[in-house]
Amino acid sequence: MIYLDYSASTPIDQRVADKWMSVETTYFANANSDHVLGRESKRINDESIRSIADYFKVLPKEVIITSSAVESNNTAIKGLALKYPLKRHIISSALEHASLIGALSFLDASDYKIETCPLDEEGRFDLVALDKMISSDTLLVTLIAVDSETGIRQPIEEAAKIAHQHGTLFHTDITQLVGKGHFDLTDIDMATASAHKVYGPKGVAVLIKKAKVPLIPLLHGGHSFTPYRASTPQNGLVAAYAYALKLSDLEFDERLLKVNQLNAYLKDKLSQIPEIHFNSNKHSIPHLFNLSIKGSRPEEGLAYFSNHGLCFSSKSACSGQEELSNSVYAITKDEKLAASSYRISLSHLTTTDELDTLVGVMKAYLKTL
Amino acid sequence: MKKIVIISAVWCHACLTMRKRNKALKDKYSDWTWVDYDLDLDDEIVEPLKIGKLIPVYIIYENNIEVKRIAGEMNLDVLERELTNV
Repeated sequence: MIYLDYSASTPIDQRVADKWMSVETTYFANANSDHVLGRESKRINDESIRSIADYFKVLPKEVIITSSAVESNNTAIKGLALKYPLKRHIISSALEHASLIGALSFLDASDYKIETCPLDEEGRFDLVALDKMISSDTLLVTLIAVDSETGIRQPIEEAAKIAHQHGTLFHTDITQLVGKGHFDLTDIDMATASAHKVYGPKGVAVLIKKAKVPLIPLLHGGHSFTPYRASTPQNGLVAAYAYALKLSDLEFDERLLKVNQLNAYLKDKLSQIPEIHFNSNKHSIPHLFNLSIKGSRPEEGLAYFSNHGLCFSSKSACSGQEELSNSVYAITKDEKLAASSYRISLSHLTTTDELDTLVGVMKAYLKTL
Repeated sequence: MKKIVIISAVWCHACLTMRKRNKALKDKYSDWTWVDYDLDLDDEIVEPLKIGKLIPVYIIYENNIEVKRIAGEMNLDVLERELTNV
């Protein structure tokens, strides 16, 4: 089996798994308990939070631990809407994760006006259009950092500055960017990220919320890491997440170099196949490789590849008329390419042997069309 | 008697885009019966309808007989034309 779906989820790093188990078994006490082991658990948690805050270059009190990026996105969107019920306009995009769309759909049903920031011809957010869309009624601009289909790195830092020029808050989902590219949260009010996309465990994520941003919590109850999300602190999971982030930082250059090499290798091999068209462009992170196979139907193609031991994905199941990929269509303006796209995601764990197998199976698949 | 069944999902951007267009037509054609189903929450109702992967889906009934179905994101004019011309 060859796994090339690292943008959907990554395998946990064994060192991170060991850290998780070590903390969970040694410091299992409730960090809210006022006894020696509870205090030890709290000390470990404080270290983890400090480490996560250092990674994102924010204050420890600006770190809200959640269970998933889904929860982080919902907390950011709904928590802000609850705080400012009179502002009813939110600007987002067609590239957002389903959880962000879900939270916006929830608000839309309560008479919020949800608008979509258009993309330019290179698949990036049209910042001139964004500037014109923001009004005094705009509660929030929320735009994803990396298009999860094409890997296009979006200009979130610039978009945040534009939002601030209008006095509007800015949220971004950086889940696909963490560990893969540099980012700057200086002008960003809230950011979502998840552990399982960076070789950490599933079940833990973060919402970075700057101290000046007020938010109504979605989960009320007992004391936790912060007042913004009640629950018994997940000592082991949070320590593991902190360690996964630390490793991704320490090994960033090495991992990125490897993925850049793999991307170039794959591109070279696939460029020899005329039926294959590359959709990822110069703005894409090298970890994501989006291509279209002319004449292919992704549903059938993925079944073929899966039957040959290859695991990767296509566009989202729901993408509008003619089952086009919004992302691919924005770049190519070609409906056939947008209806036949595949997403291969690479990791520093990927090997050239695996990519050779992928290319071989793709050539065999083309003969079936 | 005309009835429009709309099947959508909260996680679907095309469905979110279409909601305001749906509302405009619901207001304009208030004498029609409009029924909304959620793909996930109303799965027992939706599954027998065999709608495929593309959403939102619009199923048009006249006198309780299905006469047409359309799917996907479209502008308001197209949606209105598709729903009125059956």
